[in-house]
Amino acid sequence: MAEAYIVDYLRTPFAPANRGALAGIRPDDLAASVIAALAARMDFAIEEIEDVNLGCAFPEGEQGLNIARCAALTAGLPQSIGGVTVNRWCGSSMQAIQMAAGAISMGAGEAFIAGGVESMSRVPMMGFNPLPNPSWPEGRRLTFVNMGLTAENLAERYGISREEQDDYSLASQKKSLAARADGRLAAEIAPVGAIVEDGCPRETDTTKLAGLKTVFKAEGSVTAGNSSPLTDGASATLVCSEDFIKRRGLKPLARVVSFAISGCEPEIMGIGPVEASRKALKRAGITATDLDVIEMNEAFAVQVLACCRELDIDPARLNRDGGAIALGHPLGATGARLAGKAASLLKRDQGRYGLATQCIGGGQGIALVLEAA
Amino acid sequence: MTAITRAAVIGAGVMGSGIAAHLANAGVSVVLLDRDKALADAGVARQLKAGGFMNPAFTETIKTGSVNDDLALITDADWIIEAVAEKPEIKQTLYRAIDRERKEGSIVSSNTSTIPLSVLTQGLPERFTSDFLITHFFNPPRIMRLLELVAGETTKPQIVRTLQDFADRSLGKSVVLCKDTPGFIGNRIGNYWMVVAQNEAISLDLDVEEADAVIGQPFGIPSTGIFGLLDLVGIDLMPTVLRSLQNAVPEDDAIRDCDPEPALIARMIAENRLGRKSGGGFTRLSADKKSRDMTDLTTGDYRPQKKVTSTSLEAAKGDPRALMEHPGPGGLYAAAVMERTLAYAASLVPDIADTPEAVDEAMRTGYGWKEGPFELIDRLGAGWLAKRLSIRGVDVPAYLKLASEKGGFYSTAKGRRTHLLPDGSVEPVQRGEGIVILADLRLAAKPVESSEIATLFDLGDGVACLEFRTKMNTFNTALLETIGKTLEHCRANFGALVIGGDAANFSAGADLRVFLDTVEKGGAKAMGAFLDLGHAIFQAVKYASFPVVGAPSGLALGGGCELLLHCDAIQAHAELSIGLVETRIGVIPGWGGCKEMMLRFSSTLRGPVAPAIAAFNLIAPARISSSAMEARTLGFLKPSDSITMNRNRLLADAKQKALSLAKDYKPPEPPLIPMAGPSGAASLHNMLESEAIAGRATAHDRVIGGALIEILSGGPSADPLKPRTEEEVIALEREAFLDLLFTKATIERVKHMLETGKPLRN
Repeated sequence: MAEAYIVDYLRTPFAPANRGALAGIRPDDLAASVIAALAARMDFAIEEIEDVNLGCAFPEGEQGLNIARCAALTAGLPQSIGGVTVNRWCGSSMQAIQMAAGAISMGAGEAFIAGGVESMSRVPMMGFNPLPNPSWPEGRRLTFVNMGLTAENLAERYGISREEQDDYSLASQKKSLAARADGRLAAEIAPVGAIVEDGCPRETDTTKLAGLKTVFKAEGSVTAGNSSPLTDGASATLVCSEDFIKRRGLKPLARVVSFAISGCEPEIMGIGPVEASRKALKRAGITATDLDVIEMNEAFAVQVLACCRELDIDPARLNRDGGAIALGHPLGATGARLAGKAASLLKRDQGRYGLATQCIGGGQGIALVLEAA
Repeated sequence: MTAITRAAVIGAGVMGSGIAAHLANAGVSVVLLDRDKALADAGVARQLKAGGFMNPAFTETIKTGSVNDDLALITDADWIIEAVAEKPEIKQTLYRAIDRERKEGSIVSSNTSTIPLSVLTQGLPERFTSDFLITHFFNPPRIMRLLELVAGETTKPQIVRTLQDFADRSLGKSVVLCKDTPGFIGNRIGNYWMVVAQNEAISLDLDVEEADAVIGQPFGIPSTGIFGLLDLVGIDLMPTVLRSLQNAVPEDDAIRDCDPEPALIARMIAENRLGRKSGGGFTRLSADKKSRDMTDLTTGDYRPQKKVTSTSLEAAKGDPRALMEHPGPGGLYAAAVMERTLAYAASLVPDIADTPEAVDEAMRTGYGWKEGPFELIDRLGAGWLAKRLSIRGVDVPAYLKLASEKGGFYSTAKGRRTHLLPDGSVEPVQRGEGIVILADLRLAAKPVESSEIATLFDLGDGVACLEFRTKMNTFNTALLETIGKTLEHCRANFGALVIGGDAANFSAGADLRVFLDTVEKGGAKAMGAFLDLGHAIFQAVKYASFPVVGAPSGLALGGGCELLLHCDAIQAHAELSIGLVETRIGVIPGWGGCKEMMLRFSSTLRGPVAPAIAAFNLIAPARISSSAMEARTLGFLKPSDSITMNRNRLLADAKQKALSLAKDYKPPEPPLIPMAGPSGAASLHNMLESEAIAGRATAHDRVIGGALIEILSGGPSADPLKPRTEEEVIALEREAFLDLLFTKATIERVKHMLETGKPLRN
């Protein structure tokens, strides 16, 4: 089987939905801008790209019409390159990378753009016309779409306090602000017009966080401060086969070692990364202690803390440049950000193994193990 | 006439930013400058927070900048308004800079409230002064209707007409042409009234509560009274304004006799008790944040707020004359303040204005008085007031003497309202061109039909106008039947119908007392009949053989909103609070409101459940618009509906709208309404349950929400592929309404609303 590598990674700035700098931009244009920026850095004939795999959690409206193909054409890629929209809700763009790696391994292409996009300003979460099956029991129907409630469920089952969630969130904000101040984020950001910086990270403190009202449950613990914000953004990676890299003299970031999907109770979807990570680590033949880099999506602080408990990982080891609570979580774009970030960190900080993992609404987990190239 | 499409405001303080916001409301693109850009941005932010904008999106039409760096931005402006510090030298320096940048033919005005135009323009070239005038707005500029306009000797008459027309039609202002006298009209009389009311209360050792109650409602003056108003204006501002007025008015002017800064006021200023802006003045929020403290006018210290007790108020029963004649402290106070204020107003005509109506209009629209001083004098009796003044030893103004001989300032002749001018002549009160006021029509001719419930007027050109006359224009059986009869009458005699009137509010919906009575005495059968009547009448409005135009202003709630949704078109006043608020009293819109919102949203939103979600998000939380512009965004107004800025022009505009529809009019074809069925219901239930778990929907909200979902999704047998008829949706509304009405929790909501005026969250 051919080995697959993540060769390059870029993302747009991430901006808060509705009030942020990207709210006025169509999602296909947003995705096109990051794809074009990635293509501009390629040292080979662009026609050699097989396909554009673009993740999108709610592919309708301006995100419909096979947004992957729309974005590829808008980005000015040759018509010979394909475009496929990938939907696994929050795991969509990590899935896009897995599909690229999978295709490479069976010889169905050598170079892929795999990324994702979400304009949560322009297409609401759950779409414009959610029509759940009325035959489902009400509780199941509700937790399938109300992510905040699944977070509250986890807080109860794991006994994770509001303070723990807030402390974790504050640390994420601080890490992201420090990373931005040190210029550690600039390398991964492809500006969109005059917009060059993320819009979500906030200066905050324990008192401010403690003062926020709960959003999803009256007597709960999940607030806007310890959840990821609604975000607009797009991301893209270049995934290539080993042969291709050698032929073209490319310098990859990391090798895709293994990946995994798992399902869990929709009512506690946030625990999804646990089984997916275990499976991916087992397939890679390593354990969590072998990991130098861990990028775990911060849909909610409580969900990250529960996963860390199950996986026996110190939360301080995660997301060294900040996570989604601070940076934002444009649903379809996050997976490729995590994978691209993990690959970049292995290179930058000279680690060996990296893990990128996410929870997914409806009760799923996705994980990807990387090794420094 | 020059159109004003671009304006510049210089000075982004409370007034400047408020004027800029209101210009943006009128669709003008605005440049707002201050010393630096940050101050201008802060001005826009302040207006956004304070409600100066009729739609938050209008902030985008304001470009901010600094006077030093960005004055060139005013080059395109048709109208440049100066609203900087009240210092002539600062203003004059600015005028010279403006004159270098402005385009030829642009109008320049000052929003000064104290400096005469002659001082502002001294030494400036005629090229500038001929384009210059004073445009004095009142605070807040969106709400207060008065615009005082002062032209100088060299001001071109054409620019006065241009601004007069623009301010009237586009800004919705009542424009009063003033002479170049200190404080113009509003603030000359208003400040005198305020200082007298303040100083008399202090010298009579009155409670702040009693003073406000006595000087407010009985005279048709806003219930903030005097001390509430002083807190709003700023206590530190009064002595400065008064001293400047005292220096500017003639030697014998009564305002010179008033102490501009009594010891109590000096102390409050020293203690930074400046009013609302400093967190407390004559009143402040108590430490417990639940009650209020008031300043004791004798000791000057704070004490807890008291319930108003006034023997004079009780004895007078709301009659101002009885109040002023009462020997209690409240009566003495009312007499001392109002006799002097009214006499002062009478003494100033013709010096500050040519007609009593100009003065009355200024006080009504600038200070929110229901009646101006001359109307108040007429109500009290000019002769009675003259006699009272003589007894008090106050000189009786010649104009008041004249009025007492002639039987008052206002009268009616040949179907028109007239006023007595200072030279003894009697002239008709002038209205602006094209203004339609039903009260004028009533004087001119007998209405077509008239009862205690409603009046039908002939607006001319084949257009009738139906005005409701019930309390808050609420609906009862008789009013619904009257609408039905009116439709019959119009079919035979008119080409179109306007529904609207002079009242501040269009309709507060169904009469809750009648509602509760019907439920308690008649039960489901009586209530069902009341519902059916409403449905039948509103459908008859919709399918009448002639166009029906709704002309709402103020409140259009519940049934009031539903009636409008059934009209062919809405001509709305910009200040419109429209909403389907039925859930507040535990029911759902039962006169076609659900049906009509589904139709409106189905035409703009695609997909099986998107229209229902939009309707649910509007109806379940009882959303009310904060302006007609927002009503459009919310979906109550259609793109083809129109907005009138000037309340006095609403009926005239509605008539034009009706005429434009009347040509080749055909009633609408009955539409089919797409309904999402059980899958859509499941989606809406998810939303409702999420709100309940989050603590934002109460137990009864869930019941009401559930009933609403049944209607908006079309019920269990609905299918997106098979749209419903209007009758089917009406039947769903009816059933849900009656089911809810006979729950204990709904009855509790209705009773609570009747008793407290506030919704019960059970």
